[in-house]
Amino acid sequence: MTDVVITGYGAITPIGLGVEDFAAGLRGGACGVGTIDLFDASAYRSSLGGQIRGDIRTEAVRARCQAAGVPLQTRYGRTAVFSQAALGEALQMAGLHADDLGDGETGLAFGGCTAGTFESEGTLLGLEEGQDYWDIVPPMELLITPVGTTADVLLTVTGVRGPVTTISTACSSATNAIGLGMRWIQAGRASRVIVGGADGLCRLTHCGFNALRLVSDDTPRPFDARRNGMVIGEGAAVLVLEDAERARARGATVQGRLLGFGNGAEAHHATQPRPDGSGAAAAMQGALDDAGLDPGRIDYINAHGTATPQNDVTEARGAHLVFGDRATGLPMSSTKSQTGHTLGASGAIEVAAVLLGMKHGFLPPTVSWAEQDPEIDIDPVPNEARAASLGVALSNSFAFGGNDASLCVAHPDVEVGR
Amino acid sequence: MTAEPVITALGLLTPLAVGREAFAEAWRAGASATPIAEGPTAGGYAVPKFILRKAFPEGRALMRRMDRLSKMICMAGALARDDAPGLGDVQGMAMGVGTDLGTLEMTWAFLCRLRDKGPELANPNDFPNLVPNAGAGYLGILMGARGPSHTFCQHSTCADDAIAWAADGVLAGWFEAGLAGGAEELGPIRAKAMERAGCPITEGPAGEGGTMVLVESRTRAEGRGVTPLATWRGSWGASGLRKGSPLKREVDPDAVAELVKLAVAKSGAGDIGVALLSREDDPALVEGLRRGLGRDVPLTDHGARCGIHPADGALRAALASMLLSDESLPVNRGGEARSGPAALLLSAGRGGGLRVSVLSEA
Repeated sequence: MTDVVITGYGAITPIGLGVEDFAAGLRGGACGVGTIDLFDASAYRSSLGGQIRGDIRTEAVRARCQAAGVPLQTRYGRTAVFSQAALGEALQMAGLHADDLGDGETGLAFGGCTAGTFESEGTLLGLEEGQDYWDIVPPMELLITPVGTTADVLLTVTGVRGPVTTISTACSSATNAIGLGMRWIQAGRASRVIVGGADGLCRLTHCGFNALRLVSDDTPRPFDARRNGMVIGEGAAVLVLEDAERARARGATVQGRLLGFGNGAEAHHATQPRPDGSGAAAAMQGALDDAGLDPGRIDYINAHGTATPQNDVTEARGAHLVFGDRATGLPMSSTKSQTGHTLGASGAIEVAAVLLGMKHGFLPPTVSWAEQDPEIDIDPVPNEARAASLGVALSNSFAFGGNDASLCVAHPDVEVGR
Repeated sequence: MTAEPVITALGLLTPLAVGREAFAEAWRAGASATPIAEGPTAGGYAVPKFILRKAFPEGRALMRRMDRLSKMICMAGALARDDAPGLGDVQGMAMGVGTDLGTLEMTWAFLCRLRDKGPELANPNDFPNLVPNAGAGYLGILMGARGPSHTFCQHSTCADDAIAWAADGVLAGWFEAGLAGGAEELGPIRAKAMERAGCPITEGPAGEGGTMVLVESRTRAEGRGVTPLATWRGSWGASGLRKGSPLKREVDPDAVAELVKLAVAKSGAGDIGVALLSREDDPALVEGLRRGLGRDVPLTDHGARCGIHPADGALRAALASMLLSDESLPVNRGGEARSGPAALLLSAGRGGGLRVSVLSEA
């Protein structure tokens, strides 16, 4: 089996523009949740969001993108800007330039849900009396709305000539895109794949989750007994996956190893998880089986951990199905407590969090945690990052449609797996 | 006895006909779908009315929540299931669905309601249907399939991507079987958006439909006594965008030719005897194909007869399977026969995504 390694990664999140800022935010217990001012959210059940504020094209972001040959085009909307910024950082870390990617051996597999929805809905919702949307909407706004557009933009700015696709499986989109990239390399469809996910805040998703009463009007409290819902966030993360031999041959520094991928359908309900946690368990077990690892090798789980009453308890049950009694003391935190739930981007952002924990020797915390839920018998790494040598981890993402996915990631120096 | 992926069953919900046999009959007769006569989608092609609850009698309660696109995906899945006698336990079956636009019509309605009534009156039952993987999720529930599930959204290669993923999974042993395909619907909003974007639905013309194919290992098919319709020889993707705007759908014939050559060489399928293009009237695609193969091959005329849509790569995979399993089936209304034992699917999407897949006689 081809060994797949991660040679670069970049992240744009509500608690840090770039992975080292993100790491500082994670370690410092930062919380990027606040009142949304991207649009008027005052009439919603919750007006909170994990919003990225201001122009993200800071000097540091521009410098990274310039070094990697990524132009940071703004005309395709916020989501595309986040994606390009994360891509620039990932390429720079991998020691690559956009011009290196046109070899036909490099592919692109990206995840997301919203693409240019924020820009499109702005025109619709801002119509004045007597105006017809179809008379005034710029064609550009229509064209940037389909979710595949983010990948289109990344293709254009990189010149990638290999296979390209977009996966949209709601909150597990990026995790599945990363898993697909791994599969492409294993199947010989590409030897390097740019993977990740991006989603921007928009009224559509904010309204939808509000209507479903899945949002909190307070900071999200994953795994806490008083948790009452999620807060929607936004962001992007991009990873460079490579065939280990190819990475080694070009002298790339390996940031992490991608050992396994599990994905399955719950076949249960459109929005609710199986109460016994068996769907979550199947994804985690699938990632372990794919990696050829015993559950005892896992040091940490970056949980889906949305802070909804149902998700967190079923995810914990799933962990107990896989890890048995060991789940009680197994660190399993939710970085969504810090970033908000970045939906189709979350899987990639959370793998970045795992890699940063491995690099800097810490476990990201679950902030705003105060009260143990008797039904959630895990170690949520409450409130403060914990110093730890992190060797092998799982990163979970569970989605509408009952789509569960989990990735198994290892520190580059840990010898495990097939 | 290998894990070689083969196609063994087809579920076709198309404007031309519903079901494999009806489609083959209409195709053989040279029939075309009847265009919509009036209204905002006039000139396009719609699927006939269908009753999903007959296919899944136990799923009636679930269907009350479903959007039309999800129903189309589930109906196509049911037709494929019914085309696969002795299918047996489907719990581990994978599900791959392609859709570019997803539930565009319902998404628009959701946003208009938000604008007109405010967020407090948004319909919570509609929102879960707005995610592109809603259809795959519902089909998984109705069939009890708990295997890997991916939904692909890369414009006009989305369904090709889904089938290629399923076939790769069978080949690599990640799963033994997968239902894969795609669906797209035609409604007033798609029509208006196309008009505004400068490509009215009468160009093409635009259509809708859902098609799912059953991909499984030859071993599994033979184990249940089924003769495959076609062998999946592989699928290769590339980006063929000419430098410029990522929103263009201008195809680079050189990139097409290069990918066609690669696919034909790697597939080892022998002579390509028919090609099925995402736009049979796209000169750049035809030119790239010609250059890649070094000759002309018969082209199907499915677009003119059923309408085109971004997920119709699945319809073309199904049609290719039929052409390869029945030599008497004409390639097009001109009565051409395929000239070799393999078929080539070529899809080009807005943004530059290309995919070439090769199938051969089973």
